[in-house]
Amino acid sequence: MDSIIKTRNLWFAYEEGNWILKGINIEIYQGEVVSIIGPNGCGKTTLVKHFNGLLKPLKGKVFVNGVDTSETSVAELSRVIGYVFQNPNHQIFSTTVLEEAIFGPKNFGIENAEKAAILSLKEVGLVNKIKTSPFFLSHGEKERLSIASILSFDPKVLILDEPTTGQDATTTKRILKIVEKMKRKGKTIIIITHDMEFVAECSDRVIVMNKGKVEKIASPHKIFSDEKLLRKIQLSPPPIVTIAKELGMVPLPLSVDEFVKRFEKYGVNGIQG
Amino acid sequence: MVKEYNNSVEKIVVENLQFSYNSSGFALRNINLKIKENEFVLLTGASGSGKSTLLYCITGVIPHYIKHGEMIGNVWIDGKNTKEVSLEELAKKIGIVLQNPESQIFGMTVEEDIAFGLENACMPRYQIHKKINEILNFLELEKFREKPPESLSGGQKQRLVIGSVLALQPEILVFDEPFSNLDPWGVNLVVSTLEKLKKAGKTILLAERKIEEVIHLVDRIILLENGEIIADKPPREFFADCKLIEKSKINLPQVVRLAYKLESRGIKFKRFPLTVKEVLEGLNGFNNKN
Repeated sequence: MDSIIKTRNLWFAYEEGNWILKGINIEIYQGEVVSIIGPNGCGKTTLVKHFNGLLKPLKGKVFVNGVDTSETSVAELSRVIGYVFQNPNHQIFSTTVLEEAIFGPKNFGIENAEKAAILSLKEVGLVNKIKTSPFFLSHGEKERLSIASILSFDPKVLILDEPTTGQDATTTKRILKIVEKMKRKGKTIIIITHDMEFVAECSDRVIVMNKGKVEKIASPHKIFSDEKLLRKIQLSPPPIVTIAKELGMVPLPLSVDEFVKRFEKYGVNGIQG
Repeated sequence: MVKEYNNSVEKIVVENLQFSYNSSGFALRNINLKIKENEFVLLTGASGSGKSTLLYCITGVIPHYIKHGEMIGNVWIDGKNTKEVSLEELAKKIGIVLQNPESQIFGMTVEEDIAFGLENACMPRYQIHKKINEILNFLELEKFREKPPESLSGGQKQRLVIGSVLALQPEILVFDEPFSNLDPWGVNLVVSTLEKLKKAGKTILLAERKIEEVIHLVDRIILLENGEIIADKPPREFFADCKLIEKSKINLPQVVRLAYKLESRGIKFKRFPLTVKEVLEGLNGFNNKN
């Protein structure tokens, strides 16, 4: 797989001496879904802001698509890296849903911006609301609109910052579907989240951060099986994973559906198979 | 004449409560509920369903602080009608912890923040000191005594708010979505405090959309929808009512979703499981190897 984002010994501080990122070395590949987890204040958002050039490293290097971000503008990087903010209200400013989704492609000079916007609104299931004012959308719809307004200029990488926080079950499921769809289209998706069930269900790899450092990078199976790591960072896996562990299921099922499928195949007696 | 409610076991009684902020409609309708001493009640429902408004009515914020709007019906706290007693007096019986700890913290140090309510209640100095020690110890915040509150993590801040509220020794504690600004680590800290408060005999009303984290503590779940109570049942009965669950938009605990799916595949649990432990116990019964 081709590398799309690479950091080399990345250090960053907002104020002198107070290092938020302490020597981060990671590599993210084209087409994978990567979750970044860790306690508030551990540097997750600070790290991803280096990917679209909003922040530049104080020490070390960040490469996006092979190019050093310190030699590139935010505008250029934004074309490649689409960043959906944590709070959709911080991102939405147009008077209609359609205008909001057109803004990106129009500014990047993409031909037929409206067509691109409508396509992206279709992807998130908001095409029937194109004339609505974003003000009248529900919290879940606003989140989907922020995603659509980024998808509309077709960036290679999509960053979602806590997309399921405060959302109901229906919206969380819809966001999961959007992530799966984008992955099938070959997009790289980076998700900052505290929702361990979401992490378990959609990630290819998980980056565990703690106090400005990377604690571990591995598949969700490996992360949630690593008792030493879980104890060290005091993280509880989703309940389904704990149940499966207790039953000795190998490999660990990461979702209710996966658990039930296994159960149907082997029955209760063979659940340990 | 406002009638007295003389039943010391019932800490919260709400009778025929209706409330509207303005003429455009009711925020709460036909609310009737009783909460007994040492009960742990979870109030849940989608955003906008009326959870916060109900908490404001129960804590006396409505009608004492939020004065616009129309309140019909009565709320009794520990036998006292909220319309008849002052907020100051109510604060000694019922304490509220809000969604965002930042909105409730203003001391320069952790200790100062806890002392604020006590100083205002004119407690003698030596007693304040004793009370603060007791609370810091209970909430495991001793080492932060002299620290500025902004140096605390989200979960620790929420613990500090609980401490400041506990200082006045209310028997009833009300929480308005205390997890919504916290990461899983912070949620764990607050859940362990809730466990302690329950053990200490407090009556607890918790408005929260995250059910999974507290399900093991809950005696009853009240579901609000468009300002009305549409269910008020113990958790096992609540989740066993599939029709109710299907139409509500609440986030079901993963364990409950698993139990539904297993039941639909022919596994019958003797007792509908709500926790990881209960699922394992239920499945054990089916497993010949054990």
